[in-house]
Amino acid sequence: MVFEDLSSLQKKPAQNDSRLAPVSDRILSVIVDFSLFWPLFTLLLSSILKKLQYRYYAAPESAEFWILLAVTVFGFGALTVIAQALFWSVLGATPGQMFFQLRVRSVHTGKAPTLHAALLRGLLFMFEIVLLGIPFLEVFSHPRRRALHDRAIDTEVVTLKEQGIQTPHRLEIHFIRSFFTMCLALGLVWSFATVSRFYASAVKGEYKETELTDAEYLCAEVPAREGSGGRLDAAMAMFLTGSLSLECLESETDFAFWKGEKEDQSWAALALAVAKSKDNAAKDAYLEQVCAKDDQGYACKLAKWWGSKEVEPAPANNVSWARLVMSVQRAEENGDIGTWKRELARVPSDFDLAEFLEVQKVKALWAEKKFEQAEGGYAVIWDQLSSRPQRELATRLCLSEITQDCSVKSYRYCQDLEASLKNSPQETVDADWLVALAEDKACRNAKDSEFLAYAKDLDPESDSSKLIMTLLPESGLSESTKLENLRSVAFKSGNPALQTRALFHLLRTSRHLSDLEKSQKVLASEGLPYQSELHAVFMKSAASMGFKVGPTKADRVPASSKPEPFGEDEP
Amino acid sequence: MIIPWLKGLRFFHEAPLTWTLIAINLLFFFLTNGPQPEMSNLNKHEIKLAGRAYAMMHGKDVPADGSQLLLLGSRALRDNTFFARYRDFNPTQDTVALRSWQSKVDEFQRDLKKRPVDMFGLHGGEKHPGSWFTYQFMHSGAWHLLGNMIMLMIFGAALEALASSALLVFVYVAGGLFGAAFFLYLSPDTSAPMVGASASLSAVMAFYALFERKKRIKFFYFLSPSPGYWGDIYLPTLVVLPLYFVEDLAQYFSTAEEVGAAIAYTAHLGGALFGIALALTFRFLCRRSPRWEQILYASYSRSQPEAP
Repeated sequence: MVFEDLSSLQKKPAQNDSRLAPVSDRILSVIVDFSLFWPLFTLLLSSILKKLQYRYYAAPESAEFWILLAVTVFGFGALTVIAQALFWSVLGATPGQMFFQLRVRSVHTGKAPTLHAALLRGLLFMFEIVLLGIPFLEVFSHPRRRALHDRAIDTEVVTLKEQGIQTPHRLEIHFIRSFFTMCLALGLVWSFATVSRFYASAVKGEYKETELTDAEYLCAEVPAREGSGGRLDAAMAMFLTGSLSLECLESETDFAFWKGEKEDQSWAALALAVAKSKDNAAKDAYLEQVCAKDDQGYACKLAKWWGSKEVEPAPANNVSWARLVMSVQRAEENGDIGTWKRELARVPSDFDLAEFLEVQKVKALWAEKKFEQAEGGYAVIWDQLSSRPQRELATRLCLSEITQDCSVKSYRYCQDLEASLKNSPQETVDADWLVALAEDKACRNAKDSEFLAYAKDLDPESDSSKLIMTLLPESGLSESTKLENLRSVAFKSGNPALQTRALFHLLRTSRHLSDLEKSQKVLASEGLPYQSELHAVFMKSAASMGFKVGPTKADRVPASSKPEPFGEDEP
Repeated sequence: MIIPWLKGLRFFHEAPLTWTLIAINLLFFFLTNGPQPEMSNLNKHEIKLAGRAYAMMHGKDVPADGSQLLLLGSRALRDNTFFARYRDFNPTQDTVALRSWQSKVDEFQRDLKKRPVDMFGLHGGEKHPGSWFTYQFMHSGAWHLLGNMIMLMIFGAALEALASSALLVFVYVAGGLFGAAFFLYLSPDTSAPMVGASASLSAVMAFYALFERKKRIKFFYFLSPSPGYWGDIYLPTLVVLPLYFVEDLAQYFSTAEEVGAAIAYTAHLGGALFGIALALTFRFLCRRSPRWEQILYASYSRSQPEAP
């Protein structure tokens, strides 16, 4: 007994000349028993295990999974206890123990324990396993090699072999007892630390449940909204501003396609057209689907406007987030400051993308050449922005700085961009940011071998990669290769921003008249950013080479790009 | 740690067919395990669409959960009925994704057929008759091969020494055929190919375990470097049956169909059933007529009491 029964009659324990079982035999018998019983128990619990396995892959964080796991563990535990108890009480040993000629015997009677006692022994055996098997170590320190499960029911394990094991050496006893003390101390410290951590997390509110009806389909980041488009309108806007992943957007559209009405499917098709905007065939196919699903809905009107790249404002709608974002981004691309500012003043009441608005306001001020106000706004919002909007803003201003003057020793916004990239090197890097940094290094003629690490994921055949390698002083490319790269990007790229950068450098470095001719055609036909700056560089280059210049687009400044007084939304 | 242990290697002249079988397996492995053809991969969205198509094909409710759809999609891509009917899946929802999905599944199916495991392995689809034999010598990887060859060295050599090379090859090949038939009977639509000598070896092991149930197999155990905590133990041959086959039965019943298993448990069980049936038949025949005993123990000496 663990606790001495003071009321029992004094009895001498039965004369016991049994040989104590070697510990190695006991351990091996457990291994053999496990090998024999585990497959059988797995077979008996197979239906539960099947469900558990399915839940593990389908929804490992669900309550159902944890319940099934608990049932499985309980099932295995119960079967083990019952099997052991039956063998101990009937035969005095499990099959593994029989094989190694071990027997479990009562200390008082020398016989096998009763079923009741054997069940208790089995339960304590499982309890010792739960405690990581540490209580089993007592077989090394107890004089009769009895652990808790033996002492609780007054049994010991003996061997039928001729030679048993000696009682423990005093050093063995001392070592095991010290180990137990250490485990107890560590256990108390760990328990205290764990409880404290859970308490602190609970106080911070980390265990609040999110309200989601379907966790796998719908993304927690997308707000539930009423009205036309609803969630998808918000999801599209968030995707366009970089605050929603493609995977989330696809989940939302999937849900809309298979569970939603025609109107929702129309919005879903538009969202996918936006998501696949770099694949022209897929984009056009989805745009066609938008109106095929619902030709009366707002999604169809918005899709027609977005797909046509019209300079006219988007169809009116006071609640659509996507409309606002698309309009603002289009105005920014076209340099249409009037539309840009008008749209920024017409924000839906529930619009939640504050970072996007702040960044756009600073950019608009900068485009209007209100540099002081823009710098002030930048300083206010910079630290509050998350990394992606930070980098987009810094990229825009960095390129603007470089375009104005490529002879400055250091560019503040380019330095901020580089610092932002270095702070979170594991995040995905956009090619546009790297182009800006490459421009910065080219202007300062600064070599930076670490920079190339950022570009390792870019496709080497892409326009961005070609431009970056051309600009970097340490790229090692020949002058002719650099010129070829610049021509390829300037005349064939579908990306206006990259074309602009390439044209700047081509016009400054090329001495070929054919390049000037092609540049003139590009300047005349394309709506490129920094038109007036490009025009100035082109004229300078043409004058130095004696090239006869025809009329260019920069000569025809559209009325809408004239700066207008800013409204009430100044930062 | 406790592992079966060879009691010395049998040389070629003692177990010629065992070594021949090992050599054939190794040859097959090195011939088919070179650079594999590039496979086109379906992305998550496409696999979910496959899952949706599969559920609709079988008249089941489409799961609302994305993870469940992914699992169902993985199941679909292992099922020949899906490949036979996916082109009929024509919903009106996302027709753009559907078109590209169908061509991706076409490409996936074409790429599957280029793999050596599909050419020489056994599956429920179109196959040539030789695959019933070639699958027994193919392996999916080095560890698969190593595990099976160790078992072949232990039990194949033991059976060859017990009886004859002819009996070994009969048990090996017929066990493999029976295991394959059992596998296809329980999974007729599977497109995932089965490879490996496991069904054949299950037949060999089961035959040997039942026929020589009083013999013992040597295991080496290691609990700690202290004396008395490492060494050899000898377990009855019959213990192989619950250790191996009950485990296979348990794993078969506890594997969710959607998740699938990388091991063809039914083939192991089929081979084992064949080995058990053959062993019982031989025992019965040996008791009835000494002639059968002579056929069986053609090269066996009854004075050998030790384990293989």
